[in-house]
Amino acid sequence: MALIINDLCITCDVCLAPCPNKAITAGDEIYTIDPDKCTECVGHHAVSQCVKVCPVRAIVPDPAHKESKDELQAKYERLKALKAA
Amino acid sequence: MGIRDKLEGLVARLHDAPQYNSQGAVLFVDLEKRQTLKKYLPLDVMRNFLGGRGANMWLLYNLLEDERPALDPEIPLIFGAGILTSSMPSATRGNFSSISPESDAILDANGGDYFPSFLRTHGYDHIVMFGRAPSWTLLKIAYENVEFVDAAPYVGMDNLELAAAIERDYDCIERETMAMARITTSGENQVLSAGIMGGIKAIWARGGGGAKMGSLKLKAIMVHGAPRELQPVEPMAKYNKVIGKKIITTSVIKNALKMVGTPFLYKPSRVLCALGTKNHQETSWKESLDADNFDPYRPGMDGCYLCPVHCRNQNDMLPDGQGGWGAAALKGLTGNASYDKAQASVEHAAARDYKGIKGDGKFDKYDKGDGPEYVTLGKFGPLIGIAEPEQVLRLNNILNDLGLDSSSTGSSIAWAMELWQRGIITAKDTGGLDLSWGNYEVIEKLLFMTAKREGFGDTIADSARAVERGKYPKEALDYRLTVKGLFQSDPHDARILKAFALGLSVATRGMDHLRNRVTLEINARINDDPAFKTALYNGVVSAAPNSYEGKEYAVRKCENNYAVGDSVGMCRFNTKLFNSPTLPDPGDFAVQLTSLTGQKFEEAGMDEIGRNISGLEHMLNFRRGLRARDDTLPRRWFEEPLTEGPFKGEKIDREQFEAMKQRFYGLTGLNAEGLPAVEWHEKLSRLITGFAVRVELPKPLPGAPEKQVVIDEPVADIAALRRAIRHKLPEAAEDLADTSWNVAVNGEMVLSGEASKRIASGDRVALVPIIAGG
Repeated sequence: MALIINDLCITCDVCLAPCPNKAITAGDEIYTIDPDKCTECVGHHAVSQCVKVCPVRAIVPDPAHKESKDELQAKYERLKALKAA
Repeated sequence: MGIRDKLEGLVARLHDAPQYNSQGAVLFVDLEKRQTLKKYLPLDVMRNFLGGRGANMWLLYNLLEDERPALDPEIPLIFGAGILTSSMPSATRGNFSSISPESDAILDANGGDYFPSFLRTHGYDHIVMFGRAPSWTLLKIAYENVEFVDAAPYVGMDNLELAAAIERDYDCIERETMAMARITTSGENQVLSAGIMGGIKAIWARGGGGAKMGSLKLKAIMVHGAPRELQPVEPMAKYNKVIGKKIITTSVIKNALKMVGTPFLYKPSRVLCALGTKNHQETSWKESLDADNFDPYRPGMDGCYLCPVHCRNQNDMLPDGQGGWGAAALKGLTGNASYDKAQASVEHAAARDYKGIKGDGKFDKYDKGDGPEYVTLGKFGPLIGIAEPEQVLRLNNILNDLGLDSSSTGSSIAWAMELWQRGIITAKDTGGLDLSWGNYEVIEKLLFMTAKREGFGDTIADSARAVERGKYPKEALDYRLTVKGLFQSDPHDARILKAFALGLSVATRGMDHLRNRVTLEINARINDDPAFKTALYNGVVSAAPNSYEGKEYAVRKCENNYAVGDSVGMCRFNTKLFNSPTLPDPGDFAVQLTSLTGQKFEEAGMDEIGRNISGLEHMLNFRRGLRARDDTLPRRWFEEPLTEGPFKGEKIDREQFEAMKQRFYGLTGLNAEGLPAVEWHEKLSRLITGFAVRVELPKPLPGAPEKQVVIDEPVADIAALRRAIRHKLPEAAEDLADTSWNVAVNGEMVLSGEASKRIASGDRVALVPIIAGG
């Protein structure tokens, strides 16, 4: 499934740079993740990079966007193709 | 008695199960016998010394044998993660502690990155390592499984190569599925300024931990496997948000540390003319090393586990490298140039024009890396006469790969350069190396020679002990800038800021700003608000940076905050008073300690815990022979006034310094020799060894100015007690040999069978001179 940032977010911005899909957007109160772009880092890394660096554990699985690993891999392939186009 | 006997005694006081929520185990590792033992510390240790640095010192005190040299394998090397490490933003850290082979004092190096958090999430708070392994060993920890792995394939590898080889051989990725503390060739060769590396740049730098680990034939400690479970989110989550917000809304964090990292400090020190230059013969250096000159090569920032700051500036000078992160971030920050505000607007528009270190278009792995910190910039810039940013970057990257502490290595080279300048050493001593200030080519070469102990590198590798080891004549000591045998950590010349000077002199690990630096003394806004400043430090501290008045309050408060911060695992940069008065403080830590451990902590008690930790460290240093005379400063700072800047003519006045130091002792609760005064000593001893006997002496003795001494090494009878007193006060040997001193125990004279008279903890003993009469 895609990931979501909850209201524990402190807007520190350390999740922005490591996101390989550029799926995270800055906000005044909390940052947000675009579920269409988030692959939980499948295709890029063994560990979700934003989860790894979030200092307050504000990034969790998004129950509204449940996806299997195969679906996340397919999303990764689709994003890669779009980028190449 | 050896460490195994000591350990046997200690284990009887330890537990088989956790004593509070989230407590991790202590893993005792006998490298020689390839045995391990897992135990838990008593609750009292956490209540009085917390974890990390504080609990490390408790373990060290109980396992130390005074006579052994630092590199003896029966002197343990201890790692400890903070109690809040991995549970709170910026709490990422842990300490390696031992006796320093480099200095005369304790070894206690603090570091972060991912290793401390990984260790804690695998269930361990401490590792106590001793005994020399029969062959080079890698200690592999994966939850319950601890393995002694043959490290022969990795011997001879430096930092970058070693990490890559481990990732390849163990199918893991550092910081994701593995974290590792390791030594490089400099540690293998017992270079005294060798640190223990915790990542591409992260280092437990100070005191020669790399040499100590090398002496145990321990190449690396690997924690293998991603954390199965993260430390608890609840009930700490809501207050973690408060702490995180405090950090990221603090001006210096937001505008400087997140954007360019610690090199922002170069300009204020330069403008103040307090920048150690050419081994502190001068105190100001070129604008070419102001932080903005590094902008073209800064592609981004990196950080430790769970840190919202990411203060680690990266560098990339390769042809296809990126730069520009944080460019112009410091422009207009007047707080960054308090003594010449016009300097805040100065930018240098430096070009990205590096074409290889020889300008020939050739590049290598040292043209990219992480760093530098301000310390490395200062030590490998002004201190040795280097003025080009690209040269500093490259030296920084080499130091990281060789695992060398930039503070001690840079200072050791600067010391050699001044000796060369003065003709005290010549080409005959250096093997032909020209040690002129700023001679880049020789400096780069010398770093590699140091790691291998080749040629003159063997002298640099002996760091501040070069005279003791016969490499320099005795007169060289006049130009060695050390306290307790440790070179200064940071580049700041403290002849102006007397609070900095006091801190450097009394710091328990030697000349080091990270133990107690009153950084805010340089902040004009705080100096201009006396009421705020008084509240900040629990006492009236003079607004004048160069005054001696009240500085003891500021140093005491900082020492308390930082000792507590280290022991919970908090980064110094994000602890109140180091960089800002608005950062998280021990009261915040108390809230999270209570939530995590289930034990009640309150802000009001945190100062006392900080004081306990530094008191324990003073007790350890006393056992190593350090006295009040060792809480001093380099000769140069007392005798040579500054020759430039707004405080031209400033130096340290010996009399006023000594008075300030004694006020600090009084405020801390130390006696005139820098040892906890007897009542406090007795209380600490009961907490540490579980044994305390107070002995009244017939008169003040050398080392015992209070006419009393506390013996905390468990002794069974008076004969053993007498031996323990002589052992504790070797300088009073002549007096203590006086056979006319009888013994009274709890007010009763022992008139016969003295040697076998039993002694118990809590007894009051008096040595009583026989009064001749008749």
